[in-house]
Amino acid sequence: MTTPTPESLAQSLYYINGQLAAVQSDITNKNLSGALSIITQLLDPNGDPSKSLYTQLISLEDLLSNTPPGPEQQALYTVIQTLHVAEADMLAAQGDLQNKNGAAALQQLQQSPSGGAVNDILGGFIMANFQWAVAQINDASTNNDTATMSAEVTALYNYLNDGFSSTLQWTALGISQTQYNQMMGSLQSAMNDLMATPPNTTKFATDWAAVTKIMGGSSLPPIGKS
Amino acid sequence: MTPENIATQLFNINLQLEQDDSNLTTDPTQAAAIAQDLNTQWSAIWSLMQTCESQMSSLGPGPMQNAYKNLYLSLCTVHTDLASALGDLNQTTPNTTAASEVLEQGAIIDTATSFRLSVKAAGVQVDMDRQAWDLKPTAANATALTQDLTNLSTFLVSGIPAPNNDPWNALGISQTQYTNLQSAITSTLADIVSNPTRAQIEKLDKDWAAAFSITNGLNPTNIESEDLKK
Repeated sequence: MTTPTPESLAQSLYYINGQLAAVQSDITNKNLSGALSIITQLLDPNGDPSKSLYTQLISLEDLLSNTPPGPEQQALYTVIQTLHVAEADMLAAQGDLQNKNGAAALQQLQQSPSGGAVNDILGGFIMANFQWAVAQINDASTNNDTATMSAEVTALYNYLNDGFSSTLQWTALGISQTQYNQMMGSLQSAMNDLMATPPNTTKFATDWAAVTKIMGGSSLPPIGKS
Repeated sequence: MTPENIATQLFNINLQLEQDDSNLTTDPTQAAAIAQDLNTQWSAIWSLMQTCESQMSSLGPGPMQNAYKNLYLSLCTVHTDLASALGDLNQTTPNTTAASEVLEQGAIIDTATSFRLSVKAAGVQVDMDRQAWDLKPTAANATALTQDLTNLSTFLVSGIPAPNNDPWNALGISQTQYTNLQSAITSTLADIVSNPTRAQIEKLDKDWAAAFSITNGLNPTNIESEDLKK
C-alpha cells in the first residue's frame, strides 16, 4: 500500500467530495439505488485508496502508527479524526439508503452534528493541503532538514498548480483568484529559498508565513466542530 | 455481536491498556513488548469498529443507528489514540513518556467511554424491542424482548468480571442505581406474557422505564481514567 502524503490525500478527498455531490444529486432526483451504489464504492474496504475513504483511513492510521511524536503526528491525528466523523456520517447514510430513506441520508451528508460528511471531507481536504504539510515542514525544519522541506514544498506547489481536474483551483480552496496567484508566487519563492546555496531559511519563513496566512482566510467550512 | 459482547471486550481491553501503561511507566525497556500488545489491542478495537460499521450501514435512521454511530465514533478515537501511541513506540528510540501520556489521557479514557456507550446501546436495543412488543405483542416480539433483556441482565451480573467487584463504578452510577437497574429488569422480564391486556402492557412499560432511565442516562463523558478498575 502506498504511503499517503498531504497531496495524495487531498487529491483523494477532492474526488470523494465530487462523488458526494453526485450522491446528493441522485437522492434529490429520487435515484436512491444510484446514490447507494456511489456511497458503497466510497466505503469499499477493498477499494483503491484514492477513491475509497475507508482504505484511505487505513493507510493514514498505518502511517500514524509509525510517525514519531511531534507536529506531524498531531496533524495526522486531527485529519484522521475529522475523516472518521465523515466516515460515520457516510456509513449511516448508507444504512438510510439501504432502508430507502433519502431524506435521512441527505441529513447525514449535510447537517449531522458535525455539519455532515461533506463539511468534514472539505475540512480534511484543507487540513491535508496545509495543516499536515505545514506540520511536515515544521518537523523537517526542527531537524534542519532543508532537503525534505524543499521536497515537501515542491510537492505542495505541484499539487496546487495542476492537481485539480475539473474546477478552478481557487474555488476548490475557498480563496479568490488574486489570493491564489499571490499564494503560488509565495510558494515559488519559498521553493527558491530552500534551493539556494546555502538555503535561505530566514526568507523561507517569511514566504511560508504568507502562504499559510492566505489559506487561513479560506471560506471553506470550519473544521473539527464535532 | 450484541452490545453486551462489545462492552465485555471493551472492559477487558481497558484493563489491558491500564496494564500496558503501568508497565511502560515501571519498565520502559519493555517498550517493544508493550508495543506488540498495543498492536493486539489496536486490532481488537478495529474488529469492534467493523461490527459497528456493519450495523450502521444496514440500520435505517433511528435510535439504534444513532447508538451505533456514537459508539463507532468513540471506538475510532480509541483506534487513533492507539495508532498515535504505537507511533511513539515504533521508533529507534521509543518515546515511552509520550506513549504513556496518549494512553492515560486518550485511549484508556476513550475505551471506558466506549464501554458505557455500548451498555447504553444495549438499553436502546431493549427499548426498540419493547416498542415493537407494545405495538404487536406477538410471540416473536416477546422472544426478542426476552432475549435482549436477559442479555442485559446477565451482563450486569457477570459481564464486568474480576478484579472489578464494583460494576457500578465501571458504569459510572451509584450502587443504589445499579441495584434498582437490576430489579427493574427482573420486573420487566416477569411482565412479558402472552396475549397481554392493556394494563399488563402499561405495567411492563413502567417497569422498563425505570431501567431505561438509568441505562440511557449513563454518562460516557465524565470518566476518570481509573474508573474501570476501582
